[in-house]
Amino acid sequence: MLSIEFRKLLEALCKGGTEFIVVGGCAAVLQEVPIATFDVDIVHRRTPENIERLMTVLGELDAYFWPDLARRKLPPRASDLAGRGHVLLTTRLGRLDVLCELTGERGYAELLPHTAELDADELHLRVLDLPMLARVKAEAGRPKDLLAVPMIIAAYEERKKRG
Amino acid sequence: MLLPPIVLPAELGVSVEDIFRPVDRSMVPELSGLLDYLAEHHPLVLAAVADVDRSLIWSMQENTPLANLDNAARMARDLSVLQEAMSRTKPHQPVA
Repeated sequence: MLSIEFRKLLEALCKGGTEFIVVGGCAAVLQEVPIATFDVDIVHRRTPENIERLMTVLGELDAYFWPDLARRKLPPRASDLAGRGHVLLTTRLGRLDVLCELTGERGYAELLPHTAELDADELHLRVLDLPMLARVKAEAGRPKDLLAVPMIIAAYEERKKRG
Repeated sequence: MLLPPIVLPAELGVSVEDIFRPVDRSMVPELSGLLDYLAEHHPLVLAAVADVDRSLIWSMQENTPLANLDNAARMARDLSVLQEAMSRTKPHQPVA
């Protein structure tokens, strides 16, 4: 059975000194949006140094491409993480989608002004804020993305109401 | 189609209109661009905000972010176990 350890996965990325933004379902859940999610999605800074740090962490987590129907367990290459695509991986702590960019050609630098910092226990995370999360999901326009948009909007409104 | 009403005793201090309601644009002016986009391109998605059970959000507001993350991981694991069990189960065959 696939392991699913969101917190440990994020801890491993932080301990490895990787610069990344949590996006997708985990970003929503961390900001009180009641949705189900099955993987961790991150957008990483695409500098050679950061890609090297990320590659080290991915090696320690035994990451390989998913789906893996031929059971070849192909590990990601640094060049995969330097492009513009979505690198879908599985690790010993669960699924990890390493996204070079989100819709609208938004990479780490473009998303950084739209993040919230979250300090919890030993985790220091940058999380995509709810307005931008709703925007990228609305622009993506796929049914699975659109499904989350009403809940993100309602959760954001409730957050503001609470103050 | 007329849906059955949700019963909420007055003693709870919360109404159905508190739990299920459309977005209040005055509360979230920074979302106006997004809300306009949805109104034009995905009006059903915008309308669905009124169907969100906000009591689920209130429950999550009671927890720390990491507690919510841990709960989400637990739910994903449970669903994964269920999915795996179902994949091993033969589909129901009606008796001839």
